[in-house]
Amino acid sequence: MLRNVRILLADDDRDDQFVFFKVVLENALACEVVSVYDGEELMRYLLNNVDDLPDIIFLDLNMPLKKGEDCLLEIKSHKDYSKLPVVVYSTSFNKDIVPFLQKNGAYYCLQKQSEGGDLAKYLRLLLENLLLGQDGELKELPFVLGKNNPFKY
Amino acid sequence: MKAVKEIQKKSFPFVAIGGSAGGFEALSQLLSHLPANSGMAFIYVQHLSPDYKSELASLLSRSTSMKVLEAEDDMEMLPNHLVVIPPNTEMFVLDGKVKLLKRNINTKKHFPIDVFFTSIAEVHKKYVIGILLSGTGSDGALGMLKIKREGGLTMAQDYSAVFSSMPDAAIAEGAIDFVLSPVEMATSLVRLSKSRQMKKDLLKLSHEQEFENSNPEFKVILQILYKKKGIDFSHYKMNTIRRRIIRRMQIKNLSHLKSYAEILAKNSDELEILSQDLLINVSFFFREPDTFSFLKNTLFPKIIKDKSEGDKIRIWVPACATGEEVYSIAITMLEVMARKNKTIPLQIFASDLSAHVVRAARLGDYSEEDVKLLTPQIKARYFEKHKDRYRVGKKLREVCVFAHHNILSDPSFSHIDFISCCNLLIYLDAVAQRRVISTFHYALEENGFLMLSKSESVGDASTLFSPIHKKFRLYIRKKNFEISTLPSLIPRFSQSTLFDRKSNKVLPSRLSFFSNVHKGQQLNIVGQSVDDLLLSHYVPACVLINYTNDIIEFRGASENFLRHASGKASFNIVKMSRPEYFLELRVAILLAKKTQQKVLKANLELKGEQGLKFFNLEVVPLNIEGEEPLLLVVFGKINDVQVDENTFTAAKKGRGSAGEKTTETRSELMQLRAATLTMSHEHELTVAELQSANEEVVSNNEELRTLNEELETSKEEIESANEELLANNQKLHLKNNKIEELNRYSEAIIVTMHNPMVVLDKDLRIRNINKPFCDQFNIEKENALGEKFYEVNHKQWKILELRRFLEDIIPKNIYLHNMEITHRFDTLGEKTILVNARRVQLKNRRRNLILLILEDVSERASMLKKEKLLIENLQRANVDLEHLNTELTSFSYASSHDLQEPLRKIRTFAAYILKEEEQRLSDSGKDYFRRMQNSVNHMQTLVEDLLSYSQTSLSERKFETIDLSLLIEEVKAELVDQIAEKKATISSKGLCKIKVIRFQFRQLMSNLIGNALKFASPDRLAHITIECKKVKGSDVLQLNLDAKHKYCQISVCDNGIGFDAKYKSRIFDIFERLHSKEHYKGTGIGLAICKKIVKNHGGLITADGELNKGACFIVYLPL
Repeated sequence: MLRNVRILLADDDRDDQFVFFKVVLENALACEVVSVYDGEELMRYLLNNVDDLPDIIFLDLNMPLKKGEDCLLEIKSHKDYSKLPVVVYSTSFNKDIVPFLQKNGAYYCLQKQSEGGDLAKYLRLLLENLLLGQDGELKELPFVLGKNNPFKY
Repeated sequence: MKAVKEIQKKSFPFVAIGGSAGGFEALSQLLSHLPANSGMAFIYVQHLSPDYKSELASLLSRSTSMKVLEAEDDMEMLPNHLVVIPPNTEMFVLDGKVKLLKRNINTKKHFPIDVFFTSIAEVHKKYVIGILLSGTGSDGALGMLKIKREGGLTMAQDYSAVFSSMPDAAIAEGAIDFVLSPVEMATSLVRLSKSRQMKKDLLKLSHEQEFENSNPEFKVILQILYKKKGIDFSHYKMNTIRRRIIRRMQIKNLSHLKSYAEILAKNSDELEILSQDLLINVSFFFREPDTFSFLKNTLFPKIIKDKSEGDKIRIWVPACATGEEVYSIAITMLEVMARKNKTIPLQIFASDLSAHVVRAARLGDYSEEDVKLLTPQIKARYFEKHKDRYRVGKKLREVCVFAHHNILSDPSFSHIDFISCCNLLIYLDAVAQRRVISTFHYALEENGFLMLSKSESVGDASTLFSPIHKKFRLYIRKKNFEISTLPSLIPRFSQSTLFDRKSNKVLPSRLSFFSNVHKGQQLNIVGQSVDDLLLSHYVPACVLINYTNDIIEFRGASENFLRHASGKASFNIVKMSRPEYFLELRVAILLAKKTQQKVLKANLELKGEQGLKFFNLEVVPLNIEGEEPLLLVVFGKINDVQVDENTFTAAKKGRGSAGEKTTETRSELMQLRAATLTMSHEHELTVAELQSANEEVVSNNEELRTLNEELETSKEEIESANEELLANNQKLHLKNNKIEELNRYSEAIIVTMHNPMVVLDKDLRIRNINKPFCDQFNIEKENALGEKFYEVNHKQWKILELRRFLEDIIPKNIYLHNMEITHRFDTLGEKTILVNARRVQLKNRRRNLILLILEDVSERASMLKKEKLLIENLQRANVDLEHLNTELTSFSYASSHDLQEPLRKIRTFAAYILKEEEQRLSDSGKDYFRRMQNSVNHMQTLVEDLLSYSQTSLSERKFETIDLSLLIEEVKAELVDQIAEKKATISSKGLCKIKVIRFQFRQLMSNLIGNALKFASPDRLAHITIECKKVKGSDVLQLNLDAKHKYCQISVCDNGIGFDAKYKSRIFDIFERLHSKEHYKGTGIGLAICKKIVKNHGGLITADGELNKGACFIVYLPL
């Protein structure tokens, strides 16, 4: 690793943002986090940083203005950012949304954890996967991460 | 005849016998076989010459020992006596006595037998036995009929009669009970005399002659007729044929049909007679096939051959009737001409007295039956067929001319080559016949041919025609122009003797008459001159006579011997001869005829001016081919003296007493001669009279017979018509019955049927209306009938749409099928009615009807409406529910999602506080935070579980076949942490494919396995067994499963802490927990969810456990 992984976090919830930052700092994860608060801002950011795109996007679904699902679609269809891994970061995933996300090129889905430690665990896994994906083989991970009871709504 | 009293005192039988020529012999024979004491009275009536004393009585007394008397006026009839009629009288019975009446000579018709028989029958009725013997004419026929009718018995002489016309006539009248020979008659009479039941005994015999139509011999006879005569009688009226056959049997004196059949097979004459009998009144083409083949093969070719260039053939058919004969002749002639390749102009004249019949003949329209003897080629060539009628075609029409013509009064045709006149003469009397024959003579060309029917002849007009072919009654016109009006000596009906019953021979017919007699032969002239000289100078006086003694040719100086008699001009040799020798001449002629040898009479006297001369007479039979038999009477040279000198000298010598004696003898002889001559004349006159009378009577008879036949046929027709009518009646009866039945049937249907029904006519008036209609629509039947439909019951049925349809039904033949009409009825409210209406077509179209059947479906309609409403409501409710569901789903989702977030955050930050502010917090403070955390955790789980529970029932019911083992693997992957934590082992057995709702079932398994992990025992390593097997419902009785059904039993068993079995049903209840939250986390919803899922699959879940041993959760899924 030559540099830190740049994470772009799109989430309108201030608490969730706070926790995310906190977990990254406290766990000394080799990444830097940039955050936006809604879908519009997200797209604008990408547009402005086309030459310096983030390495991974954590996308919340429940955002005002542009919804996470739409952002995912946009990103994945844009010629410049379609290859950006997008982790969908949400409180809950219903059974319908998961296949949709998978189909439309979400990298992984990560459920928002109650414990900070859990979040750190999953972030580490994801970052490892991200880096390994560049160099070597992928670790075997379920598409939806962090679900206590995977089949509950 | 005046009314006579029936004498009942006389109780002995009277045998009344009648006879004429030949009767005497028969009676003699009969008498000689009768005893003298038969106890019957006999009376004999014979035809006698009026003028001479009858020796009858004395002659007859030679044959019997009974007393034979000549009748006297007022004489009593006594038993064992024979009374004979005197000459010149008519005899009858009055008051039981014989009465005589002088005969009226002026009346031509003299029927003494009839007169006597009739009168005795009237008086003595059933005591009379009538016997008819040989004789000419038909006297006695009616008398016999009378006897029979009065209950007496009748007998006629059979074929043994020399002259059979009298017995035949009586038989033909059906008046004869028995046809017997004289000997047999005698036997019968004897038998009768002994029996009291006279008639019955004898009549018993006659029944043997009766037979049924089904008698096989009858069929044999019909077959013989068909085979030999080519006529199929099997389609004729059986009764007529039967009667005719019986009659013939009677005449032939046969009692068994079989014997008659045998005779018929052998005797062609009898066959001929029978078929003629049967064919009377039947006319069709080529009715006499053999006659026509004779015409075709012999006569017509001859006629054609004799015709030269430019000649015509002219044929005349009088009495042509409906033309079958005419057209048959035409066809035959045309066919012959075609065959000989000669086309000579042909003209056939056909005439008849009846204009109507001529018209029919001209039309030439015939039935299948008429033309049945024609070959298909003939039919095709000469007829046009329309359906099953045949009409004569052009070829025939061209050659036939039909005329309404009276043969006796209208001028006749001429230059005729051939006349075919069948069945005309028999209907005419003698005078008319003669007239007709002479007409024919006039009409025919020289050597023209006349053909009559097989039962006719030219009779005494034989000077005009020579017979050529006896069988076919063919005559050739004689060149003799003289019309002889005197009847010949040979009676007309001796023609029948040509069949010669006695000898059963048919006299030979002459076939080779087509000789070249008329064509001259080549003679040398010298020879001819010599013959001429001889003939003129040296030939003795001779004349050529025929068998009726008419002179045909004169040769030599016959004037010495013959002179013309005074009176009507005649060439009769006997009349023309001198009284001196006429007897001898007569005898010689008879002898020559009989012996067919030359007869010589020598020394016949001839009174001349120079005294007595003598000459020899020779009669030589002369038979020329193609001519009638003739005789040559040659008068020899007249001599002064007798040829035999000796005889004469002796006579001369005998002068004196001998001479005187001779003179006496001579004068006596002269007297006798004169007397004989007169007698002979008288006799001839008498015979002639009798002849003519006979002829008239016979022709009358023929007429009567024909009429009878017609009447019989009419009777038959009426009978058969009657039968037809009866049969028709029967049929009608049956049909009527059938109709009645059908009527009753249809009435029963109408009455039983509970649908309202109404019948309307074409004006929509009610013709009929049934009870259900009246009941359902409150209509009175009496009021409704005749009313217009839409006006009935205060215009209750005034429905415009319906009316329009109804009006169209009859004219356009539309029909209404379940047409729905909703109409508000005044009293009944709104009703929905299905209308079925149809036209009923009757023979008389104006009476066509409309049949209307209704079905009140108002209830059903309203029910349907309600149903519809309900359905709509349900559908709306459904839609609402769906909306609600969707709302609820999203609500649930949203709520869970939104509820989760704050909870999560509380947890997160509580965790941070505990971690980061650990030092600053007191123990109790930490404790409080931990309790808070726990609660939040619990709440989170609760929210999740609740959401899950509610979602379970709202999800789709999409069943998929999944592999259970794969599902378990998925679950294991998700629970990997917990499994590792508890160090649990999971084994599976018998995992198969199951049809389930995928994610629900996954949840179920996850819950069960999760539970098993959660409640693992701390004392041992957790081991979970998942087993799957197929079971039958009956195997697991305690669970109330459907015994017949098969189930998949999936069990998840663990070795954890187990539970008290008494809670095994409670644990599935919602919020039910067996442990406190502190020990085991749980919302108490998990198993409730499992139960719900299993219920969604139509299955069952049970739990079993033992504390501290383990628990087993078994799911039964129906297969």
